[in-house]
Amino acid sequence: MKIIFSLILISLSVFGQNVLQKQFDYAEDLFKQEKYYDAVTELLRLSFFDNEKQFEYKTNLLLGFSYREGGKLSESLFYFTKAVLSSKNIEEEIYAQKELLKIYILRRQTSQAEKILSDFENKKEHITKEEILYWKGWVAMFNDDWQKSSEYFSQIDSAEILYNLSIEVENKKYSVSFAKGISYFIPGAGQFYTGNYFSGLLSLGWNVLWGFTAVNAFKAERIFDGFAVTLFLWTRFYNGNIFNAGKFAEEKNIEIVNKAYNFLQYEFKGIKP
Amino acid sequence: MKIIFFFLIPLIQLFPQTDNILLSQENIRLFAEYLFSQKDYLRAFNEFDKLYEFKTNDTIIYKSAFSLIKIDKFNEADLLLNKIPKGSKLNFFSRELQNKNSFLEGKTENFEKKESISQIRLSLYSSLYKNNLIENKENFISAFQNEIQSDIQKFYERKINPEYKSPLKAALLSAIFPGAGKIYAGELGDGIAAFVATTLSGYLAYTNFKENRSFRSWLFTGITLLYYAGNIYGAAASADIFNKKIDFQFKVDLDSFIRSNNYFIETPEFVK
Repeated sequence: MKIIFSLILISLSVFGQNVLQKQFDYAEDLFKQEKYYDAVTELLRLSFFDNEKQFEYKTNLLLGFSYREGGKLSESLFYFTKAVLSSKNIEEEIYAQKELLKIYILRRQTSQAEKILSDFENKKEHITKEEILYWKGWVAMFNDDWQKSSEYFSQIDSAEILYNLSIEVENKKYSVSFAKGISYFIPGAGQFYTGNYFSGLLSLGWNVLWGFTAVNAFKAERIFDGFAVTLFLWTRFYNGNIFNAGKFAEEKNIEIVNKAYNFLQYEFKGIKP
Repeated sequence: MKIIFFFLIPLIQLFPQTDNILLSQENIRLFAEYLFSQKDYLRAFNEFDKLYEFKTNDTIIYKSAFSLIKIDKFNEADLLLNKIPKGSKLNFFSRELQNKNSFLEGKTENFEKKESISQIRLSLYSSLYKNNLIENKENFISAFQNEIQSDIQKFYERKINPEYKSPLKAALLSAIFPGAGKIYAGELGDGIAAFVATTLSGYLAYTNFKENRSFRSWLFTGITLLYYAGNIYGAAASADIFNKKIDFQFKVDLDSFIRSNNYFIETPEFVK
């Protein structure tokens, strides 16, 4: 009798696990077929019926991947965090933390990404120094700090492409403060520096016109005229010239950085977030 | 040994059936209810839909329709609600939900029969969105619950007397006093700037005419006229934009109020 009952109990538990395993395999299949919505549905079903939480880690991880592939980074973040919390050993924890780190990088949540990286520093037996530096480089790139990213990548032999990219972007970027600075001395110069020649000429022209008018007015002792033109016309165009110089430099920098991000997204073949 | 085999054989027979155990009627229903409680309405509807292969009931139909409305599938929701028979306990709630549906779809002609309190209220409330209010004030307000009558009164008054600015008045004010029309339309900074630009260029034109500087005088005259005309047009446009903001904010407030009052309909406990 005892043997019979043991057999029944074993069969039932194996039977239950078998169902849940099949459900997980089915969800994984849907994920591989890029049917992310359906994969999420089946994973939620598995999670609902998995009373023993045997598949909790794997389910949360795959949910995180599914939402990420579907472009829903907030939900992905939620499930990767749950995966970290439900991990049963250090390897599982670090794996989930790495996925969490990638989401933080994509969302440019630099401080959270840095927290994970500093946590990794305390787990050096499970993650190599190169890998930590590699992800630090990515955090810096997404934080638009190409100087820092080049410093990190220079310490990794296999990251030559990323190092060269960081140096190239850093060299190509325009200095916003320089553009504004030279515009203080020569109206339009900042705009020339950023390649906006027509706008620079226009700025120069307006400033020369109103400057000439104001100076002439003062010379002819038409003090009120001089003040009026200086205050309401000349300063307006002068300040506008400085503002434009800064704005154009920032716009050019955005173009340069976006080009780099496009390269990373579509052409770079290495590991990326 | 024979006894062991006697028990094993039925157990082995069960194994092929375990493939679909999570997709049994009861498990689909449990999972659908869970999704509904988590407000994952699209998934909940898809699961409720699977239950039609088995036997369904009015509660499931109601929840399916509720989920469809939440994902803006109003026509499909209506078709489902029509399946709830008149004798059902949920019939009243399904009519209420159909009233909400009609309101959301803008089909206010469905309220003409005024078969229920919610229809009366929705019909009156929908008139606040339209150009003309038909009902007089007392009749309008008294149709609603006591606790919200003061809010309804405010909406009624905002509808009858909106705080519009007249574009014609704004243009005239700016024609008389540059910038005044813009200040009237609520644009203080723009109004001051228009005044300064127009009067300054006008003054420069005047001083240059006095000193017989032909080119500069006509140049500043031209600039003055441009600023003056722009100031008048700008004042009228600002008043128009102001009025559109009033209308937009009114509509936002109406939408927010009716949502917070559950569209004046009653819902069963299981969806509250």
